[in-house]
Amino acid sequence: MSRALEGVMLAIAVVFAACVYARPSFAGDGADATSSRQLFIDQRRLPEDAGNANQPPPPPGNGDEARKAEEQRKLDELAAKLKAQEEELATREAAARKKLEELKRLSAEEEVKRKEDEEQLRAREAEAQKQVEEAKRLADEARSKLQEDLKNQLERKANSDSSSPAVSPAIGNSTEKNADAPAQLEPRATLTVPAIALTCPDATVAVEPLPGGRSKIAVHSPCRHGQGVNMQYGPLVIGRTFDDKGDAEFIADMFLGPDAKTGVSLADGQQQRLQLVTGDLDEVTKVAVIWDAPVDLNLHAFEYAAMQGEPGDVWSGAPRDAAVASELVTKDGRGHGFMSSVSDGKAAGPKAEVFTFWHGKQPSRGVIAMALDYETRGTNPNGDTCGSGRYAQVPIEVIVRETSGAVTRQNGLIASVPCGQTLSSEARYQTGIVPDIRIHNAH
Amino acid sequence: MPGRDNAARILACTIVGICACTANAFSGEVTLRAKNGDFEIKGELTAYDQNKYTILSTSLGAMSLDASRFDCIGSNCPTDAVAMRTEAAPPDVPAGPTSISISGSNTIGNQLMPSLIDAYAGSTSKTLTKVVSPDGLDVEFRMSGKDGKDEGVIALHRHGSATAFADMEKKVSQIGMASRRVKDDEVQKLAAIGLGDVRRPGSEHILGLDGLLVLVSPQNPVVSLPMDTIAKIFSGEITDWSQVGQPAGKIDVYAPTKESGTFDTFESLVLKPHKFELTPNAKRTANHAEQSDWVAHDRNGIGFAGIAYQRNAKALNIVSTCGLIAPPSTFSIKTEEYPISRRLFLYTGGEPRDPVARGLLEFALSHDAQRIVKQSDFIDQVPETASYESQTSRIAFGLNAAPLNFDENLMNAFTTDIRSAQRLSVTFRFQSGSYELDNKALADAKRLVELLKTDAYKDKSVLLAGFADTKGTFSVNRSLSLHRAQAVLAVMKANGLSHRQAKLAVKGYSELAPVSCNDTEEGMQLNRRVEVWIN
Repeated sequence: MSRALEGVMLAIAVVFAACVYARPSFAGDGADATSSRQLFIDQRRLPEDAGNANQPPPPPGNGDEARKAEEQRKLDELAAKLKAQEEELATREAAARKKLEELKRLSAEEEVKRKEDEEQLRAREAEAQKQVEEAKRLADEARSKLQEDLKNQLERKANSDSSSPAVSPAIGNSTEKNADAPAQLEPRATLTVPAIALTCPDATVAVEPLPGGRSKIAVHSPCRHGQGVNMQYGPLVIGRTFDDKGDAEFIADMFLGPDAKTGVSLADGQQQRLQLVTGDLDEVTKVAVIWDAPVDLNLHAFEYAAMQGEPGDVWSGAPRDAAVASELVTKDGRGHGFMSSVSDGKAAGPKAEVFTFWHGKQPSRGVIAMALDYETRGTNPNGDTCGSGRYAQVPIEVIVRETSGAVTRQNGLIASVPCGQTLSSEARYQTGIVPDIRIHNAH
Repeated sequence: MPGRDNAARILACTIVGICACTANAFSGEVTLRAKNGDFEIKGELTAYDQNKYTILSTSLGAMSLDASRFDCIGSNCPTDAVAMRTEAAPPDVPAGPTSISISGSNTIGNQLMPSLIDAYAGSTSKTLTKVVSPDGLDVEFRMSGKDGKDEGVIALHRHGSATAFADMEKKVSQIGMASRRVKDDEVQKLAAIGLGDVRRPGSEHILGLDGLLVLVSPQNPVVSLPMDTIAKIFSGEITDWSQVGQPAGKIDVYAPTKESGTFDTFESLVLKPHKFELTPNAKRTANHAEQSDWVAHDRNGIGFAGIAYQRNAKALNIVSTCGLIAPPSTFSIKTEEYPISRRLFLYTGGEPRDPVARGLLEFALSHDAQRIVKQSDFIDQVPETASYESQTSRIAFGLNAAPLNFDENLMNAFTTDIRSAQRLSVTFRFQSGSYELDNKALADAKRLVELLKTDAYKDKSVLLAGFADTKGTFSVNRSLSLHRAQAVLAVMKANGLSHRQAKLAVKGYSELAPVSCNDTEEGMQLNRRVEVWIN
C-alpha cells in the first residue's frame, strides 16, 4: 500500500513538474502550448474568487519571473511534502514489518512450547499405560496360577475319586488351609480397586474378593509401620497394627452385603471410604450374631443333625475354613459352611460371629440347626454372668442375609440364669435364638 | 342355571319348612334371606357383630354369613344399634402397653407362631426383642414402638397342645395353639369359665394343615411300612429292624411328650386303632426339632413329627390296611387324605378382648399369613390342583377293591366326568350319615367362592362330586352323597356365589373311588366327602 501511495505521489510530482518546466511555451510559443498553459493557469486561477482571494497579487513589472519563482516555490513545497509523506510511509512500513517479525517470533516460541507440552503429555500417558499393563500382567499371572492350581487339584481329585461331581469353578479348591487364602475364583471376581493414595504419600488400600462372600482389604503404608489402623464394616470396627513393612490386612465378612458402610481410618485421623467387591455372595446364606458386651459368645451351626463336638458342629473352636467347606460341597453336593469370628470377647466394642453357608448344587434337603453358647458363662454360671450380674443378660442382634440379598435383623436378649446351678446342654447351647437355615430345594 | 336354582330353592324351602314345624324347639330363631332373593336359611342366631351373622341350622350346621348380603327376618333379629355377643360384653381394655399370652403346641409354637408374631409386629411398625428361656420352651417378645416406647409383651409358651386349654382355663392365656382338636372334657371346662363352646366359629380357627411323618435316619434303607407294623414298632412289640426285613439293629423309639398334640394325634390315628400304647422305652422330648435330629442322627432310630420337622430325617410312606400307599405330599395333606393328616388350630373364647391379641389373631388367619405357613414348611390352605392322572391310582384301587355294591355305569360316568378335569385340593367332609359341614368346610366354601371369582376360574365348569363311606346301602349312600354336594352348593351360594359366576354341577357317586380304607372309622371319615373338580 505504501509503495502504491508513493507511486501515485511520484506520478503527480512528475506531471506537476512537467507542467511547470513547460512554462516557456506558455510565454508565446505555439497556440497549443499557450492554450495548455493558460488552461492550466486558468484552471489554477478558476477558483479565483475563493482560492485566490488571499493570494498576493503578482509583483508589477517583472511578472513572468515572479510567477516562475512562485511556481518553483510551490513546487518545492509540494516536493517537500511528498518527500515527508514518503518518509512517513517508509517509517510506518518499517514499523509494520518489525511488528510482523515480532509476531512471527512469538508464534514460533509458542509452537515450541506447545510441542514441549505435547511431548510431556505423551510421556505421562505412556507411563500410565505402562502401569496398567503391569497391573494386568500381574493379574493375569495370578489368574493363571490359580487356574493351574485348580486344574491340578481337579486332576488329583479325578484320579482319587472318579464318582465326584464336576467341580464348580466358582468355588474352587485351595491347597492352602489358611482362611485368608487369596481368591480362587473365576475371572468375574478379579476386580481390583486401584490404589487410593491417602495423604501419606505411599499409603494405598487394595480391595479384592475372597471366597464365601468376603473381601480382603490390604492397607500399605511403610511410613506408618507400628501405627494402628482400623477397618469398619457396618457396626463392626476391627483394629490392626502396621507391620514392619507397613502392611495391614482385614477381612470383611459381608453379612450386610457389599454396600454396608465400610472404610479404613489411620491413627492420624485420616479416613477413606471403601467399596467392597464380591464374587460369590449370591451363593451363600450368612447368619451373624452381633453383641457389644465384653463376653464371649459362640455361634454353633450343626449341619444335618450333627451333634456337639462332631465334624458337622461348626463353631469358632472348629471353624472349618472356606476352602474346606468348599471342598465338602464339591464332594457330596450338599451345602456346607464355615465360621468366622471378630474378637474373642475380650476387646471393647461390637463383636460378631458369622456362619457362611454355601448351598449345594444338587437337590438336597435338611436343616442347619443354629445354637448360641454363652461361652463366658459356661456350664456353671457365677459372678457377673448370672443372677442380677452386670452381664447376666446380653443383648444381641441376629442378622440373616439370604442368597437373594434380603437381610433380616432381629433383636434378642440372652436371658439370665440363676447363679450356682449347673446348666443342661439344652440350656447352655440355646436354640431358638438364632433361626435355623432351612434348605428348601428338596420337597 | 334354572335347574340348579330350583334345586336350591327346594332345598331351602324344605329346610324352612322343617324349621317351621319345629319352631318351638328353638329360641332366638330368625330367617336370613339373601338380598338377591336366591337363598334363605332359618336357624338360631347365635352371634351378630354388624359384619356377620352366625346362625345354627339343624341341617347345614353353623354358618357365618356376611351381614351385608342378608336381611334378617323375625322378632329375634338384632337392631343395628344392638350387637349380640355370645358371652357377657367384655370390659374395655385399658390403653397402654399390654401383655398377652399364647400357650400350647410346640409344633405351632416352635417356628410358625414366632414367624407370625414377627410379621404382625412388622405390619404394625413395632420392634421386637426376643428372649428365649434357657430350656427353649418359653419366649418373650418385647414390643416397642418406633420411638422406643414400651408397647407390651407377647409371651409364648410351647409346652404341648394340652397346655393350651389348661392355660386358657386358668385364664393365663388368651390364645391357645393346638395341633389336635379340643376334646369334649376340655370344651366343658372352658365353657364353665364363660368361654362358651370353643368349637364354634369365632372360637375355633384353622391356622393351617399338617401331616404326621414317620421318620427314620437317611442311613436306614426302609422306604415304606404298613400302618399296623408302625404301631407295633412304637408299642415295642417289634424291637429289631430285622423283623421287618431290614438289616438287623435294635430299634430306638423317639416320641414327643404326652402333652404334645402331635403325640395325641399319633396315638389316636396309629396306636389306639390297633389297641397299642407307646413303649415306655421311648426317648421323649417336647422339642420336635430336637426329636427329629435325634432320629436323623441314629441309624436305628424311628420317630414321628409334623411335616415341618422332617428336617434332616427321612419320611416313610404309609401303607394302609387295605393296601393304599400314601406318600406324604402337599396335595394329599391339603385334601386330608394322607392317613395321618391333621389341622393346626388356634382357640379363643370368641373375639379376644385385648387389641394386640385380636390383631394378631386376625393377622394369623389372613391370606397373607398363609404365605408364612408355607414358608414354615407347613401346609397352607390355598387351594391347589392335581391332574386326573395323579388321581388314577386311587381310582384304579377303587376298581380293584370294588365295594360289595358297585355300579359300573356310575363308575364310568365318574371317570368320564373327571377325565379332562383337575381336582382342587378343597375337599369338604361330613359327619357320618349327615350333610352338615364342619368349621373348616364352612371356611373352605368361602375360600372356594372367592377362588371361582378370579380370572383363572370364572369361565370354568365346576363339578361338586359327593361321596360316602360303605355304611348303609349303595343307593342310600348315593342319595346321601348327592345331598352332600347340594349342601356345599347351598353354602357357597350363601357366601355370595352367583350362578353366573361358574357352571356348576352337583353329582353323587356313593361309595365309589374311596380315598381311604373303609375298615376304620378314621378311614370312613375321609371317604365322607365332596370333591371339587374343575374343567
